[in-house]
This record gives sequence, C-alpha cells and structure tokens, in this order.
Amino acid sequence: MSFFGFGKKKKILVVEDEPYIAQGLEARLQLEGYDVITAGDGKEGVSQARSERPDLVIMDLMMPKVNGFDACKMLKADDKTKKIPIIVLTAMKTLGNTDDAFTSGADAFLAKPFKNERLLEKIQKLIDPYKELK
Amino acid sequence: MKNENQEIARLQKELGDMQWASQKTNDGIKILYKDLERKNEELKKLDRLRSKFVATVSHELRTPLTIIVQAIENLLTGAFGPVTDSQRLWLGRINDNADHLNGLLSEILDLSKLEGGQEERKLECFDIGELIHRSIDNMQPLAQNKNVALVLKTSNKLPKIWGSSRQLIQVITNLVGNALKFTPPKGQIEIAFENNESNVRVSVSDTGPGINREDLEKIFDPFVQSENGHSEHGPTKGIGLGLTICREIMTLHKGRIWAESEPGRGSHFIFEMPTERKQ
Repeated sequence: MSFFGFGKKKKILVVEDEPYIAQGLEARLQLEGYDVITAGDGKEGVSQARSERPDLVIMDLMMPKVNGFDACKMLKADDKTKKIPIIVLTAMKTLGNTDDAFTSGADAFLAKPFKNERLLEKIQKLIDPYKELK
Repeated sequence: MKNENQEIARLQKELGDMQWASQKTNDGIKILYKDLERKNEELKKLDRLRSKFVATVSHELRTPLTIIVQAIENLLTGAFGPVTDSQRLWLGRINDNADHLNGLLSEILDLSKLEGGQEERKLECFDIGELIHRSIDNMQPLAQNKNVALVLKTSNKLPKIWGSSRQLIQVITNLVGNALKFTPPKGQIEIAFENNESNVRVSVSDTGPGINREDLEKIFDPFVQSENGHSEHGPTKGIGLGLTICREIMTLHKGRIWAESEPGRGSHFIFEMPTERKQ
C-alpha cells in the first residue's frame, strides 16, 4: 500500500438487483482498475457500505427489500457512510425521478441504458484523489 | 265560493304535478350525477393505468436494453477477451441499433406522457436566446461529424419567456436533429430568432432535400415521415414522433409550429409562442 493511500485501488460498491447489469459493471470497472463488490438489493447494499466502506457506490433505484431512494437516504444519514459519493442509475427517466434521487442524497445521476464512458467520467470526477487540492 | 274552491283545487293539483315533476327532475339529476361520478372514477382509473403502463414499459424495456448495450461495450473494450475485426463490425451494428431502439422508446414514452398530461412540467421564466445558444453548442460536434455548418443568426436579444425550458430544449434539439439527418455534407443549418411585443419566433432552416407541399401538414402527425425523408445513408431512422412531440409541446405553451418548404430548396421549421405567461 502506498503512502497516504495514493495508488491504492479504489473500491466501488455496485448495488443492482439485475445480475447481468451487475456483472457487466463489475467486468468493466475491474478492467479500469477498480476493486468491485456487489450487492443485490438496497438492504444488502447499505450493510456492505457500512462494513466495506467503499470509495463510491453505484446504486440502482428499483430494487427489492430496500429501494435505491431509501438506501441513499440511509447511507447519507449515517456518519460512517455519509461522505461516500453515490451515483444513481435508473430506468425510469423522468425529471421528477432525477429530483427525487438528488433529494435522497445522490451525488450524480445516470439514466439507463447508459454508456460506460459516461459512468466512468462521473466516477472519476467523484473519486479523484486530488479533488480536495484543486 | 265554489269557483274559488275549484280554482284552489286546480292550483293544488298543478302544484302537486309540479312537485312531482321537480322530484322526477331531481331524481334524474341525481342519477346523472352518480353516472358522472362513476365515469369520472373510470377515467381516473384509466389515467392511473396509463401512468403505470408508461412507467412499467419504461422500466421493463430499458433494463434488457441496458444489459445489451453494456455487454456490447464490454465486448468491444476487450473485457471478455480479444475481438476480431468482423466481430467488431457486427458489434458496432448491434450497438447502433440498440441506440436506435432506445431513441424510439424515449419518443414513444415522451409522447404518451405528453398526451396523458403526465409530463411533469416545471414552469419557469427563462432566457430563450441563451437556451437556444446552449442547445446549438451541444449539437456542434454532431454537425461537425457530418460536415454540416450549424449557424446561429440573431438579430436582437430575446425577452425572457415563461414555460418549460426542458421541453423547449427538446423542441430545438428535435428540429436541429431532423435538419442534421436530412442535410447532406457541406450543407448548412441556420437557426434564427426574432420577437415582437407578444411573441417569439424561432426558425430552423436547412439545405436538405425539402418536403413535398402535400406532406407539410402531415409530417406533424404521428408515425409520418416525408416521402423525401432519405438521408445520405438511406432512409433516415426514426419512428416519426419527433415533430408530433414538438407540436404537443407548442400547444402546451399556447404556441404553434409549422413547416415551409419546396422540394430541392431545403426546409424551414418555424415555431412561435407567447412571451407572457398564458398557461
């Protein structure tokens, strides 16, 4: 592990109930050099975020048990996880939906189907290690 | 005295008849009212169903599309191993068509929401000139790719208008997008705007093949494309809802949209809407 954690692989938690989307994201993010962990619903996502402390969370909205809106709120209400940036993914592309996602604490929003490049741009912006210095 | 009694009896009978008729009318109104209430409930139920349908279709169709788009992208990036040139070519074709499918899906859902009055409209006062500038800037890369000049011609500063900026961006993007589809390389698309005391008028003119006179009205109807609607790469893709969506949006803004063209002389799409809040 390098000094101050620079050069350390960033860890991303993918919370998505559709296994093929989760696997696809995992493959691409690993190719980009990220460590990837996955959760199949909002409840598991929140508990993984609390125990694994990822650098970023990618969150689907329509999920069983705990949906993405509520999972975002739970993460942002918890001191241990509130600083972890969240990118929300949704197949329900409406303006109201975007607003709801942001009020529930999401830091960025992407409508499905999305281009991986767009997602990678958003990830980089949110977990750039030099962000604080700029 | 007898006559008076007879008269009273007659009046009483008349009154009774009137009361009876009034009762009947009241009963009739009650039945009609109940009927209206029932119909209103049915309509509300239909509206909820439609709303649910749009949401479900949106979710259920976009999820498999996401899997397809992602798998293709991953294959193309080599995440699942090396790809041959011919595989790359076909993956590219699948990708283009998945994009196309997504575009069509968005058009259908947009129109369905607009017609059902479910489109959430955030009304605000905004600078339409600035909005046009921004929309055009966003489309410059597409125009450069096609080697088409995208020119903004402004005469004066436009006033602020009331409406949904998101919907207005959609109108401008649809019109310029159409013009880009139909304009051959080295052609030009000109966006001009002007205003008088009560209206703003925006026009998008291209140097494409133009539209037959008999099609000028029809192209705003759903699922209609102009006979001349062939771009350089064969028939242009699209389901023919873009202009219908534009017209719906203009109606919501108390404005209007129309086309002027002659085959071989390009097309002009013009929309006009009030600057003051009339909605």
